[in-house]
Amino acid sequence: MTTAGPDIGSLYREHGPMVYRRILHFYGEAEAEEVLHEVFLQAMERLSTFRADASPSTWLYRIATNTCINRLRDHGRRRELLHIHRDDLWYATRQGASQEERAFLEQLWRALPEELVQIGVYHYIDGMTHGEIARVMGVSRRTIGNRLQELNEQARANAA
Amino acid sequence: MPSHNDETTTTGLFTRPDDDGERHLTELSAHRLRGDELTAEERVAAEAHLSACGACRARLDALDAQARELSASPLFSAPPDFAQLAARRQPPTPLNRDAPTGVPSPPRVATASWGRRAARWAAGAATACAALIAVLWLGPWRDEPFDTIRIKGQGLGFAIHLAAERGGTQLLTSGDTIHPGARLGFVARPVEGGHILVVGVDANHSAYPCSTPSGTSSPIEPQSTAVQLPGAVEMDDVLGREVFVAVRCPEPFSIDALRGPLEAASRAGAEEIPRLREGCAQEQIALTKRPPEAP
Repeated sequence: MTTAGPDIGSLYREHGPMVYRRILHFYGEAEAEEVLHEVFLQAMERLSTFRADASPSTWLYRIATNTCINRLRDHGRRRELLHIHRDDLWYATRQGASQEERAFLEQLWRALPEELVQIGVYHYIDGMTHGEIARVMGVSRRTIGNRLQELNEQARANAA
Repeated sequence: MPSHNDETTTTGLFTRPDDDGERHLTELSAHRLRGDELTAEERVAAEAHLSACGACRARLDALDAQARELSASPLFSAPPDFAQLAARRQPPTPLNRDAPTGVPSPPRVATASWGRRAARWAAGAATACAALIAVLWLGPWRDEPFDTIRIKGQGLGFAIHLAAERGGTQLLTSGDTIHPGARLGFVARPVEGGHILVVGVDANHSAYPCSTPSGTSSPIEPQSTAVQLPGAVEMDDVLGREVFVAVRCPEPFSIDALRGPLEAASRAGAEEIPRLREGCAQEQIALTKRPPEAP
């Protein structure tokens, strides 16, 4: 881990492949390079907010996730999050998605506020615990617990 | 399989239980492990897990192989010039029919049936964005310059123009009605320079960027005449109130900083969107989206 602030070129060389892999969960190779550059442009603009003692992987992972979600929504992609490169996902249950997960991944994510969509992706797609989501998003576990409860309630209502 | 107490400081390393009640390293944890970013305690826990979990070892091996392959690819062996990439996507396009100054990027929509001037602008402008449909706004310019029109706001100056079906444009003001498929462009005349972004929020309370496709503000100089902002949107079929907010700040910012309060204000039914960012100028125009009336 570096103690001095990183420059965008070295971040790209060191962490670009990880970011690219993350993007491939949401986009095919045809678009991934463009999204990759967008992620690092976003990172460059926020470089002053990056703490020298923070984890570059976590920071870039979050920017990459946000960029992918926003881009999907802003471009009005009708495809379902659940079906986007599902086979490549790191975390996938053998029994498949529950009704609530399906409701989120197939339709609800398009209408929910930004923060809830991020939490839903980390929870349903990445399989993260409350603790890891809290660390990635820089909020308390309690906040994540409350948001997930809200998310699950909306998902259940939508699935009913 | 080692168990992982949910209250430990290393619990964030592992996924929630799978169908068999087992937990595995998350993808992010694997990246942090390979990036040497885990704490000593986390590293011990991760290595203990890996020694007992064949599935995670296999995933990590696959991750390493993919990382080696990618690192050797031209995509990563020669990083792009990010300063140049940033400059390419940012310039606001002056509203001057003879001098579209945006840096060219290929238009995503064919321009054959639209005016040549518009096509040149389209090639120079950033990729368009919309709530549900991404297109370039290819409508022709109005014949008179925008600086002859009065636009809203003393400090920021913000106007929306609608591409008319038979050419030309129509200026919109709050309360006007638009229809799904309407193509909107944005005009600003800020008294002070800085960074500007127009965002929209639809009746589903979903915010989306308008003046840049990425949702990142673009730099703008103080203007004595109105300038066309680079982005444009085509309206989707979500009916109801559609609010557009122009925000100018001294520093660069992105829609991420605005989305939460904007969507919250929309959900609360606020007629006037409260200030989204301290120290920034802000103007809004609220339109109503209705289906077109039957002929």
